[in-house]
Amino acid sequence: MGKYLIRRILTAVFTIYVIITVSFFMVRFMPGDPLQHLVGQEEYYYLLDTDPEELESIAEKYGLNDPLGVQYVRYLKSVVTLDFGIAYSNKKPVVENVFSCIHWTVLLSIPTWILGGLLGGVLGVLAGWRPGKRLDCVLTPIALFLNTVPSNCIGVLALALFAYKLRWVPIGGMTSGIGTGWVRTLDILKHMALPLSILVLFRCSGDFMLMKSSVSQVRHADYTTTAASKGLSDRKILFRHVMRNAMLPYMTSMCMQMGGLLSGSMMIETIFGWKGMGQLFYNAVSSRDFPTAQFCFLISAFCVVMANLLSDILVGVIDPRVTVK
Amino acid sequence: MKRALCLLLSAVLLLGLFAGCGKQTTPETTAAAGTETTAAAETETTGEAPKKHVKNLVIGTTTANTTFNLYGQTDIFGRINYVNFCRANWIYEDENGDLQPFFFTSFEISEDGKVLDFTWPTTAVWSDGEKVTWDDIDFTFRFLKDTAKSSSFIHLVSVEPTGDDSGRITFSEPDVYGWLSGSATMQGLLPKHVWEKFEGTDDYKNYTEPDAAVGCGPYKLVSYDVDAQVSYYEAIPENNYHGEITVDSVTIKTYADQTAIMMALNAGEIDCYYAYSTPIDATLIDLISDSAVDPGESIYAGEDQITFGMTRPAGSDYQFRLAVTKAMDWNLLTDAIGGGYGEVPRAGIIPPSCTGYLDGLPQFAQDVDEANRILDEAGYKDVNNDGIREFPDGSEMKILIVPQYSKKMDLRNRIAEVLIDNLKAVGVNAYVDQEIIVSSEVWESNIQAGNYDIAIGYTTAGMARHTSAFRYYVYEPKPGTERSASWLWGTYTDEEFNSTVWRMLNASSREEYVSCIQWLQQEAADTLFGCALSWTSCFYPYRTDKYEGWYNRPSWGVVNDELWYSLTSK
Repeated sequence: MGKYLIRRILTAVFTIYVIITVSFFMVRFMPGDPLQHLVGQEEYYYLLDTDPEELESIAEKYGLNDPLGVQYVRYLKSVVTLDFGIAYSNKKPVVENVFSCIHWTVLLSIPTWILGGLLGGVLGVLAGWRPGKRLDCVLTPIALFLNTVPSNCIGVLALALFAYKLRWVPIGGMTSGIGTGWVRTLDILKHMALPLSILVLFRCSGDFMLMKSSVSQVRHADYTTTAASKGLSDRKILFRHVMRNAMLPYMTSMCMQMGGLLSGSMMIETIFGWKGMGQLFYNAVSSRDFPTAQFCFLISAFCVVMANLLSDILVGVIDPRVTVK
Repeated sequence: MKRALCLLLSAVLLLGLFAGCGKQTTPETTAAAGTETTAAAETETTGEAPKKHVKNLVIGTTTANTTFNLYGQTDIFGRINYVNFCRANWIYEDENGDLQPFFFTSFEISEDGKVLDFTWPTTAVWSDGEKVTWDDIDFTFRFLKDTAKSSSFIHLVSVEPTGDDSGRITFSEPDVYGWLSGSATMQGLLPKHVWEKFEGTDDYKNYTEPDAAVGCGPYKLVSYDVDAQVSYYEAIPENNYHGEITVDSVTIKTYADQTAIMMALNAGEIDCYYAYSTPIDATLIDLISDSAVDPGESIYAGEDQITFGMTRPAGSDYQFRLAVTKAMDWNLLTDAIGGGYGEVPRAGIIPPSCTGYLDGLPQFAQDVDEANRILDEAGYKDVNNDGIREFPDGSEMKILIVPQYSKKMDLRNRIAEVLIDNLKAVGVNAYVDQEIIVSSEVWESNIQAGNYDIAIGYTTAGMARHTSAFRYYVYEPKPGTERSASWLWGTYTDEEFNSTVWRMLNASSREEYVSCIQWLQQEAADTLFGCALSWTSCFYPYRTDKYEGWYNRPSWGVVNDELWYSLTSK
C-alpha cells in the first residue's frame, strides 16, 4: 500500500508540473498578439497612432518583450508564489479576482455535489434493484433526457419560465444588494434556487444512471444469489452486499466530481450571471485575459489531479487488490 | 442512515447560510458618500410649474460594476462618465455634433486655433464636499500633460487664470479644436487633493481606493455591492451644469447578458439600458413583449465597410470596383449585418449620424446585368470558357477577400460568404484565405502590406465620432512619423486623399473638419476606393410608462449627457 501511495503521489506531482508547463506554452502559442488583447484592438491602433511609447511601456510592464526562457522561469516562480500578476480585463490582481469568485462557486458546487450525489445514488440503487418497476420507469427516461440535453439549453428555458414568465425567482445575479444579515442570506438563497436546482438535477441524473447500472450488474452476481439462498432479507442483501460492491464506480465518479468543485459550471454560471469561477474562466478566455485564464486552468487541473489521487487512494482502501497490481 | 442524511443536509444548509452571511457587511461605503440628497423636487422660483423629479432611475448594463476610478475607462463607472455622470467633462457634443459648454460654462477658440478662453463655475463642488478651485484646473492639465502624457497636450504651453472664473489655455500649435472634438468630451476635471499623490511612474489608472471615485459631476457614488453588481449614486444639486438636475438618484445594475437585460426591461426591473458603443443586438429586439418598452432605435454612427486593394490588378481598376458594387446583394448584406434593421448605404461611406455627412450621394443598388456588362467592357472575360472570368491579359483572376480579425469574426466571415456568392454570380472567382481568419498576426501582416483585393473591416461608433471610417483607408503615415511604426491599412495612394484625412484629424475648427470630411465622402463616391456595407440601426431600449423627457441620441441611446436634466416623472 505504501509503495502504491508513493507511486500515485509522484505521478500526481509530475502531472501537475506537465500541466503547468503545457499551460505556459499553450497560451504563448495561441494566435493573437497579447498586447492587442491587453489594450483592446481599437485602443491598440489608436495608441499606435497617437502614443506608441505608451504601448511599448505596457509591453515592458507585462514582460511581453522578454525571451521565452525568461518568461518561463518567471512564470514558474509566479506559480509557486501564487503571483499571477494583473488581470488584463480589469487591471486587478488575478489572485484577488479568483478569490472573490471562488466562494460563490463553492456555494453552488458543494450543495450540488452532496445533494446530487446522494439523491442520484439512492434513487439509482432503488431503480437498479427493482428494474422495470414504477420508480425505474418514471426516473430512467427523465435521467436519460437530462443526460442528453445540454445544461445551457435547460438553463435558458428555466430562466425564461421561472424568472421571466412566472417571476418566482430573480433574473440572474447572486444577490440584489438589498439588506444585510438574514435578509441578505435569504436573498442569496432566492437567487441560487434556480441554478442550484438545475445543477442538482443534472448531477443527480448522471449519478442515478451510474448507480442504477452498477446495481443492475451486481444484483445477479453469485454472492447475491448465495445471500438470498441463506434467507437474508432484500434490504440486507441490498445494503450489505449489493451496494458495497456497486459503490466502486460511484465512489470514483464522486471523487472525480470533486475535481470540478472549484472550477464551477461555466454554462450555468454564465446564463445566471453567477460570478463564480466558471464565469470568470469563460470571460477570461473570451477577452483573452491570459493571466486569469491560466490561473483558472491551473486551479481546475490541480483539483482534477488531486481528486484523481484521492479516488485512487479510496479505491485502494475499499479494494486492496488494486494496490497489488 | 437517516441520521447521517439529516446531518449532511443540515451541513449543506449551514454552508449556504454561512456563505450568505459572509457577505453581510453593508455595501462598501465610499468616501464619496457624504451628505444625503432629499428626493423632493428642487425648483427655482421662476414661475414655471415645478418639475416632477425622478426619485431613482435604474439603469441596466452588461458592463462590469467593479472598478470605480474617475480617470479609468473600464467598467460601467468609467464608461458612464463619458456622459457627464460623476465626472464633469470639459464640454459635450450635442445631437448635431456641435460642441457645447459643460464644465466650461463658455469657451472660445482663437482664430489661429492655438488659444482657448473659457469660464468655469465657481459654485461647483467635489463629491467629498471640497470646493472646486482654480488649482484643480491647473493641476488637471499638468497631470494630463506630464503624468498621463496625453497626446492632446504635447504642444500645451500654458494654463493661466484670466479672472475669478475664467482662464486661458495656450498651445504652440493649432491643437485646440482637435483636443476639444477628439477627447475633451470624454475627459474632465480631476481633484488635486486626490490625484496629486501620483507621479509619472505611478499606476494611477489602477488606483482603487475609495477616493478614486471623487468627482465634480452631477452625481456622486454613494455605495456599491460588487457581489450584487449594483452601484448607487445621488445627485449633487450644486453641480447643475446644464440646468436643474431632475433625476435625484441613480442605480446601475449589471446583468449577465443582453437577453437578461431584455427580460429585466420587460419585467420593469430596470428603466433603460446603457453600454458604451454596445447597443442591444438587433436579433433580441423581438423579445420586447411589453408595450411600455421602446426599442430606442436610431441610426448607428459606426458601420461595416470594405476597402479595395488599390495597388493590385483588380482593385486598381475603377471599372472592376464599380462592377463589384453593382454585383453586391445590398439587401442581403443589410439583413445579415443589421438583422433586418437598417438601410442600404450611399457612396460616401459614413452614415447620416456622423458629423459632416454629405447628403445626396448615390445609393447603392444591385444590378447583376450591369455588373456583367461593365466587366465585359473592361476586358474581364471568360477566355477559357470555364465559367470564370480572367484578367484582361488572359491570366487567372482570383480575388482575395480578407475579413478583419476581431471578436466579431463570425459576422465578417458571413459577409465574406455573401461577397463570394455575389461575385461568383458575375463570374468572378473570390476566396478567403483560411490562415488569415484564424490568426491575428497573419491578418495584420496582410492588411499592413496591402495583400488583399477586398478587405472587410468595421468602424465603431466611438471611432466614427471624430476619427471616422476614413482613417481605415489611409496609406501615407501621419506627417512627421515613420511608416514602419504606423497603423496603415489602406492602399489608396492618392496624395490629396491622404493629406485630407490627416488634415481632418488635426482640424483647427469645425468648418475645416466638415470641409475635409465632405471632400472625402465625395472622393469615395467618385473613385469607390471603398464603401460601407450597410447603415444599420442600433437599439438602446427604455421604458416609457413612468418617466418622460427621454431623448434618444443617435448611436448613444437615451443615457446621454442631457438625460440627468430632462427626465421627469409622469
